[in-house]
Amino acid sequence: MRNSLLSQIIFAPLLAAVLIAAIPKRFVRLTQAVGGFGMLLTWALSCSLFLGFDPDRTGFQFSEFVSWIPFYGISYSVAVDGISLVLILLTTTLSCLALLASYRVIQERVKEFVLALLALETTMVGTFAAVDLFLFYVFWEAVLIPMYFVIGVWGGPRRIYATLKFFLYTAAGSVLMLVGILALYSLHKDQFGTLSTAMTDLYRLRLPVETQITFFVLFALAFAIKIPIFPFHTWLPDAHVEAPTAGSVLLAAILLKLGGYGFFRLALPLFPAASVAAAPYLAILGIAGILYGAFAAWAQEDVKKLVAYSSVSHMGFVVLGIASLTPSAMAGAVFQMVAHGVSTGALFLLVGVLYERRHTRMLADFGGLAKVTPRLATAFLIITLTSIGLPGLAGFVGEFLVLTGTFRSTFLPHPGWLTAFASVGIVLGAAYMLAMYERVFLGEVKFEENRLLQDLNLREGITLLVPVLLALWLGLKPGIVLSRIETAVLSIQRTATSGEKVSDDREGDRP
Amino acid sequence: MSAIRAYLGDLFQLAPYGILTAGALLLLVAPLGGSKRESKPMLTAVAVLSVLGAAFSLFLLPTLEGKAGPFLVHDRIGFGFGLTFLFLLLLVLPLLPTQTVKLKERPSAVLSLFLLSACGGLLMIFTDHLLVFFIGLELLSIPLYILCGLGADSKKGSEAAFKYFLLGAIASAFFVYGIALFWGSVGTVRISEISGAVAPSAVRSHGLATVAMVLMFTGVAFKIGSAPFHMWVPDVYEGAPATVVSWMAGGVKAAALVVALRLFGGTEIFQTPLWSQVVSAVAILSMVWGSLGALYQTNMKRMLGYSAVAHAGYALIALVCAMEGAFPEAAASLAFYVLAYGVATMASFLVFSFEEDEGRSAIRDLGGLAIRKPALAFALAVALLSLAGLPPLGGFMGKFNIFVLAAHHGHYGLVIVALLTSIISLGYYLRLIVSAYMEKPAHAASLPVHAAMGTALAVTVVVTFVLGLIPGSAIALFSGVP
Repeated sequence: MRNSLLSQIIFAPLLAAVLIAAIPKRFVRLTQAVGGFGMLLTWALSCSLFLGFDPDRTGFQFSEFVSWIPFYGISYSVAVDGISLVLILLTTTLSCLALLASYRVIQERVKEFVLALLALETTMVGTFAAVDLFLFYVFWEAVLIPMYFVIGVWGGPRRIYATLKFFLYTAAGSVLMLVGILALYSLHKDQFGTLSTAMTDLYRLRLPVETQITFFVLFALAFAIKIPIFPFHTWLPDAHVEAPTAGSVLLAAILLKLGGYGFFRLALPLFPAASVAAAPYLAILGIAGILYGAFAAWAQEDVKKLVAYSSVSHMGFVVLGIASLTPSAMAGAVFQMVAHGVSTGALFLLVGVLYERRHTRMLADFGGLAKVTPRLATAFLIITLTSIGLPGLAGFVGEFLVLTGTFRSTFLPHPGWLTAFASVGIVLGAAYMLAMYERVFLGEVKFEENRLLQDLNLREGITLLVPVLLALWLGLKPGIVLSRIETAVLSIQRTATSGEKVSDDREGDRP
Repeated sequence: MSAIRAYLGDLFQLAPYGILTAGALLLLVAPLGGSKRESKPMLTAVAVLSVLGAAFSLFLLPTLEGKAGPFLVHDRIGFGFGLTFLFLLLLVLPLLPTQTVKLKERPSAVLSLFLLSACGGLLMIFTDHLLVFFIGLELLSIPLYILCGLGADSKKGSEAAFKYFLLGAIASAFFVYGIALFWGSVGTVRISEISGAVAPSAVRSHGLATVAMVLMFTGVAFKIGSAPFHMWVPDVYEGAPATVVSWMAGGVKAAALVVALRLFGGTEIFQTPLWSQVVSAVAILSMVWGSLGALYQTNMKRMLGYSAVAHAGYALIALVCAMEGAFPEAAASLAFYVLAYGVATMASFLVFSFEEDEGRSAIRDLGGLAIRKPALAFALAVALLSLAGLPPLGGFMGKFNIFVLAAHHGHYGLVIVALLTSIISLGYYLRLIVSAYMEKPAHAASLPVHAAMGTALAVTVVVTFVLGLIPGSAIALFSGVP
């Protein structure tokens, strides 16, 4: 389909940002209204993208191609397959929620905050949509800049330390990816004679195994830091805790998924032999992340840090799913990315609600809130159960698919044992999440201040209703996501495991 | 008639230099008309018109007949760098009489010195005759020695000027001595004659030629500000007025890099594996020393001085590729890089000059710039992120050009060092941005920003984004691809 829907989705937030830049900063409500409208418009466009996507067609859809720097064969090339489709919809949805959540919470420099969120949305969607490797890298790096400001300007007491660590750590990984990109570019020129950074062209490269492994390491490091894979996760707790609510939501729900997406879009199809060779190690690191994140979360007294470590744990399932290299595990990994985005985004929203009322996030300061704020308690419960992986809610589908896929994987040694260890993570998840819920909401009201807490107001109710409904919907009807990602996952899985490149039909012709 | 036309045509080849010199002299004598006659807008107008005239005549040159004689060569590489050079000059010129406290007192002298320096730089860019390199080098440097010391009411200023003068004079001496020995061993001082007909076998004495090359390399490397000849950079950048430094960081580097490019990349004598390794080593040393040195600085200008050393290192990577046979591509990517880097550095130093005029020079004094003067802070942030090499800004594209070139020639080691030092450089650039954006204002709102500064900064922001987002036309321009 040759239309510009995808570009509209990518740049609508930026356009809104340009409009907002012209508004004098004292018109706070107007700024927020324009920003909200821009994000809603983007969300609506992405819904139309979602509905217009044909699940049965292989290859990319909605592709657009504009020659950008012909001197290098770099083009502005965007398209979606099932995986990027669902992630883009996740991004637009959560961006709206993040903006809504920061209404009235962010009081200083509101205009810059809205600008930062809009810029962030553009760069995040752009990363998912790019099918030119150079364009992908530009968006990938550009994501860091608004997030760096969001954490650094509006964050908590240790925000400077947290944001510098986040930025430098992630940028270091990305820079290694750039080396890989330059080398790939060079190799393509040697093998095919033409200059190009289009992914579909680079997928055709034939590389010996050793070269593939080197490249895989370079790319995988960048993604490993983003996801994050144990032991490259140390930036995450600080960044999540110090970020303002909206920042944490987008960081956890979307930015982490960029890393997982990177594996699907780049590391697996470009370097299949290396992927197969690296699979066992990735699986072990994934399980390490699951267990480490779970134990660390269990030990936390700060709710936000607990949720941050639970993110490490849940993303470990994504890593395991990718490493298993079976269709069900990989589909589970993608689903888990979506489900985790919803549930963790909601968790940070919930923590934000608590913090805005009591200005503390320590478990010891709460207790018995279910009696005082029943609506909050209900939402919290549903999201907690989603996070644990209760069947019927979104979290179950992804984890289950990953575990069944891992159990049957022929690419991992002792798949049975690996699955067993990973399952322990689910039990631990129940342990720390339920313990957290119990300490905050159940039992007697321990402090007087807690008796006076307001329940959810309309704005907060809406921001939480959406993820709750999504958690239920995705849990009961996972087919809406699974049906759309199926062809993409299968084709990537075949490419990664067969040693042959299964050609992806590229939608439309290049001019 | 045609003889006269030919004669005029030949004479016109000297127009850019003549216009600049005439403008400089005019500005020098302007105060003689009495202090009432010396109005700053008029002086600025004269200066700007001279530069515009020189640029215009540069444009016209290819269309006219005439030879520049044995000394000048107006080729495409020269044009790319020359236009960048004059563009940077145009950005900073209107600011000089108005903004910089130290320089406000003697606007005519300052403007005149700038024009003379520019003339020297243009000479360096448009020649392949070694002695003209030297003349241009001196003409470029001596006014700058004076400018560094002008308005030096502090010890740091005097130290900067003196250090620059002394070390610069020594470097120039090395350079000219190298030229002399070179002539003695090779028999010519024109680069085109060396690379074309004269093969290395005609070199009368290899030992002497090598010594000559080492001396010349030292002189040029000093001017570029590369390690280990960079010791002057942080001190001079710290002590000199920020507007002067903004010109030095961009324009002077451009001129020096052209000399290096033509000399080392354009002659076969330098295209040996040994010299490639030497330049690579200098590049790595500059990148590492510059980046690490900047990390612990507390003075803004000093920090950018060390970063200038690191950037010299990145530029030298392109030089290495030029020395291995990729001269046109290396020249093109270097021209792009100089433009992107020059614009970004200039923007940073212009913001620093604003702070300097209020007496502040430490990084933490930048605190709250985003709240006091949001436009300045934005321009600074864009410039610093471009210097760090983040997409979608011009600095990223500039580095990308060089890295693609290096990767294609197999210099992955250089690329990895460059990328890792870029990460380190993020550490200090971000510190400046943190100070500007994320800290409370340390002082109350202050002096207004002059229109000239605002315009210059706006132009730098636009150019940075254009170079980053739509680099195609710039790349095509510099590489001569239609």
